[in-house]
Formats: sequence, structure tokens, C-alpha cells
Amino acid sequence: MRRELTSKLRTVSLAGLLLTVPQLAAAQEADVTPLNADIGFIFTTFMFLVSGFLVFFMAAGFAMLEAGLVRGKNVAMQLTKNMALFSLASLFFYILGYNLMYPGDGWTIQNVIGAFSVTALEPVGLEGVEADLTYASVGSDFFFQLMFCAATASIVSGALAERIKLWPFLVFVIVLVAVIYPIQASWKWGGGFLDAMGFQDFAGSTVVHSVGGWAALTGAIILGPRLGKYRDGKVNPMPGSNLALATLGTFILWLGWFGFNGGSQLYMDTSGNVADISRIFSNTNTSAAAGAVAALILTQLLYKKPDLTMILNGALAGLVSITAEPLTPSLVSATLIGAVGGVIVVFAVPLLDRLKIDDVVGAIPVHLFAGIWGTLAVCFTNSAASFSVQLTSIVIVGAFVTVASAVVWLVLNAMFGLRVSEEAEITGLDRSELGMEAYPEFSGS
Amino acid sequence: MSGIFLGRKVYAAPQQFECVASLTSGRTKGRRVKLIIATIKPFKLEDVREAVSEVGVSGMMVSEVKGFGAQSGHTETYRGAEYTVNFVPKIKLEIAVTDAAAAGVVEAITKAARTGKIGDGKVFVLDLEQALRVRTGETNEEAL
Repeated sequence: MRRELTSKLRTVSLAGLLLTVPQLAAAQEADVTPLNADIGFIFTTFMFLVSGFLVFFMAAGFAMLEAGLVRGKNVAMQLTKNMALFSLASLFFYILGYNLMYPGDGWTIQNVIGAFSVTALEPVGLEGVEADLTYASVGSDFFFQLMFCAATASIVSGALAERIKLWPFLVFVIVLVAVIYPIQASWKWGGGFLDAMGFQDFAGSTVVHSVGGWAALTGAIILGPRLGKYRDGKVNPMPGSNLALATLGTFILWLGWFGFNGGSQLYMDTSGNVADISRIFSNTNTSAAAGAVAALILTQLLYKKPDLTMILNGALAGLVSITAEPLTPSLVSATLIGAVGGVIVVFAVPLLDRLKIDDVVGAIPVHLFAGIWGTLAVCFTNSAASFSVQLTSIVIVGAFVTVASAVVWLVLNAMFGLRVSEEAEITGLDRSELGMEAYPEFSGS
Repeated sequence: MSGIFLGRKVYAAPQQFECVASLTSGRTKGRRVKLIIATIKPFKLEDVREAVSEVGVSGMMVSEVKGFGAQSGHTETYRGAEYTVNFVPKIKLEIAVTDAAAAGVVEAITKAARTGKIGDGKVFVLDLEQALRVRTGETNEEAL
């Protein structure tokens, strides 16, 4: 309707324009000012788009973090996996994931399994539809939610680096982003049974991070450690190839997290909502900083020297910890929640090594352990949360993802084998699986 | 054998001296050239270079090497896991000097490289069978 009016105004002749200047000015003004009902829709949609591309940038963060923490002979392969998994997530989330996660009234099994259908966007210019102006456009919501799904898959790739075959990994990613992630996400964010129970998970400490963590843990156990990582009861460290890239990746993730948590406010249509988003930004930043400082101090005390890789993990653990509830905490609470996350990482990394679970980049301590902590920590600041409901939800999601992931990993292992050959692993996946290297000028070959 | 050193990167590789020059010159000048091989702590390289320049050394070969001696290895921690570094990074110097200058150069290296702590390095002095300047064919003392 408003589009038609605009085009009519454009066709008014110049003479007519000059004669009717005052009236026309008034008409144009009325035309360009959005209706009151539109303003909330416009701002919220815009907020989703900005938040969405911030979360998109986290794909770059994961790629750089992982490229920096794997050895030089596996960097190109790790980048290939990150590129492929994000792209596959983008395709399969629209083909299946989005409506499985947000079925609306179209549940296949009420509150448990969502709708099986392909995502459809609104028509161009919202022609001929009554858009729900109390929320945001479908396009912006889909775009924003897709990025969370892709982040979940990125978590898995880091833990299993340097030894898993490319194609079985990518098949797992497809199942994760198309089925496993959307089904459990529908239980909370799609309005399913966990939401009905009163489970609180603002931006996904459990729904996103622990899910990636459980899938990574299951995969790491089934896949086994890198050759030579654990020998004669001792841990043999395999230092990362480029800590500058790992640090850049961490800062990119930190930046993306403002969109991750801030956008999860889901509305920017009132002054209260805008104030809440800014509160979330401040808490998110504070928690990350506290996680990094906790790891800095703790590694200095424990090992006599600070460990940069642990500080990077500490910052990320701070971010994961605050993700379940970035709104209600004060800055002091956010500091404490993040600091505990940083401490968890410093103790959990050697613990996994003792259990001979080889997690190359520390994804399991950061995303799973800190994710569980963050989900429980909601109870400290949000009176709507109940400890038993939080714990029950963590267990339900954990059990579902672990069992589903284990089935997929074991089937893939039986069909194709998950691991590269011993020779390929020692040579490095770059040369053996890709036939190209990230740093050809520097390698000994 | 109290220690071994593994060469990693040689900036100026020593030439395999051919016999052509010795046949023509007939080694008339005898063994009047010494080869000094020294291993030092990497951060002392610049001090040592200045010190030997002052006593008249006009050239040297430098390599980054790893090895162990009395210092043996040490332990480091990465992501909470302790590991042993068996081979310590060192700098290896090779300096060819006249017989007369050798003692002074060894003293200059020793003074400049010494910190008094374990791992300061070693100096070896060898008789050099022959030295030859590729551009001119000069040998031994004239070749330095």
C-alpha cells in the first residue's frame, strides 16, 4: 500500500510539483515516517541483522583459534573443515533445521519433535501477508538463528582436529545441524517441554555450547587421542602452530559474543529492551575479562609461568559461563561467574589429559564444562530459575546429544572409518588429505 | 662424549676443500691455521661478535644448533602438561684464524660469552688442514 503511494508521488509532473509544494511536503513526510506499529518491527529486525553478522564473524574466530592451536601440518585441513562446516550448516539449517527448531503450531510430536519442512522467507516487500509486527522479519530471525547452529558445529571441529577424516566429519556436521541441534533447541527456544518446565537458558550455555561440547566429547572418546599424545603414562604436549592466530581468533569470538548474547534479548522495540541489550553487552565483556584474568593468575601460580593458550580458553570460558544469563547479573556477579569459568578451564584441561581424552583446542572444558557451570549459575541472579530444573535440563539435553552423537559417530566409524591412517596422521592432514599446505615455505618438505 | 650438537640452519656452509690448490701450492706454509669451534648461549652472539672483531677476526660462520652438555635439558609446561626439552638451543661459531691469533680469539670468546651459569658453552680448537679463498686461490694465512 505504501509502496503504491510512493510510486504515484514520483509520477507527479514537475509543474504540478511546483504548484502543490506545501501539500506535497506534508504528504511525503507522512509517507516516510513509519507507522508506530512498524517501528518496533524495524528496530528488532535491524538488531537481528547486526547481531547475526556479529555471530557470523564467530565462524572466523573459531577458524583462526583452531588454525593457531593445531600443528602446522594440519592448518589447511582445519581451515577447510571450518569453511565446509559453516557452509553446510547454512544449507541444512534452511532445508531442515529451522522449522524443526521453530515449529510454531506445527509440532510433529507436541513439544518434542518440531516440523519437517523447508524454510520459506516472507514475500518481497511483505506483499500480501499480514506480518507479525510485534516481533521481527522471518529473514532476520532465520539469519540470526542459523549462526548459532553453525557455532555449535564449529565447537566440534576443534576438539577432533588433526586426526579425523574430512568426509565422515562433514557427514556428522550435517546430522548435527539438521537434526540433533534443532530438536534439542526446540525443547527450549522453540517453546517445547523444557521451556514449559521453566528451564532458563538466555543465549545458549546449554542449548548451543554444551551441545557442541557433548558432541565433541563423544567424538573425542570414540576417535581416540592423536598418535603419541599419551605415551608411557605421560602427556606429550603438541604445541600449536601460531599463537598470534589463536589470539586473534579469541578476540573475534569475543566480539561476536556481543551479538550472540545481545541479540538473544530478541526485542529492540522499547527503551527497556535497548537498555537490557546494553546491560548484556557490559556483562558479557566483564565475564570474558574475568575468565581471562582468572586463567592468567592461576597458570602463573600453578606453573610459574602464565600459559597464553589457557588465558585464551579462560576468556572463552568466561563468555560461555555468562551466556545462560547475561541480563540479570550485576557487573560484580558477572565478574564472579566469568572468573569461575576461567578456573574451571585451567583445571579441566589437565583432567581430560589424565583421562586420555585428547581435545586439541580445549573445546570440551570451554564449551561443555563452563556451559554447565553457566547454566547452573543462572540461579544466583535470576529468581525465575530453579536449580533442579536447570540440572534436569542439562542432563536431558546431555543424554540426548551424547546418545545421538555416539550413534552417528559409531555408524560413520563402521561405514567409513573416522581416523586417517597412521602414515597420513604423521605426515599431516594437509599433505596427505589435501595435497596442499598452509605454510609451504616453512615446512621441511 | 660429553655432548652432541645437531645443526639446524647453516648460514654459510663450509666448503668441501678441493685438492686442486694444495697440489699447486704444495702446502709450503705448513699448519699455520687453526679452526675455532665454539658453542655459546644465543643471546651472547652479538657480544662475542664484537669481542672477536676487536682482536682482528674478519669473518666467521654462525649456525643455530640444538644440543646438550652439562646443562642437560629442562622442563616446560604447556596446557598443564610438563614436558622435557632434551636439546637446548645454542649458537655454533666457526672461526678460522692464524696460529698466532688463536689464543687471543679463544680468550675473547670466553670473556664475552661467560655468564658464570651452567650452559655457557664450549670452545674447541682444531688444526686446520688447509684454508683456501675461492676467488683468488690463496691458501692458509693468505686465505683468511
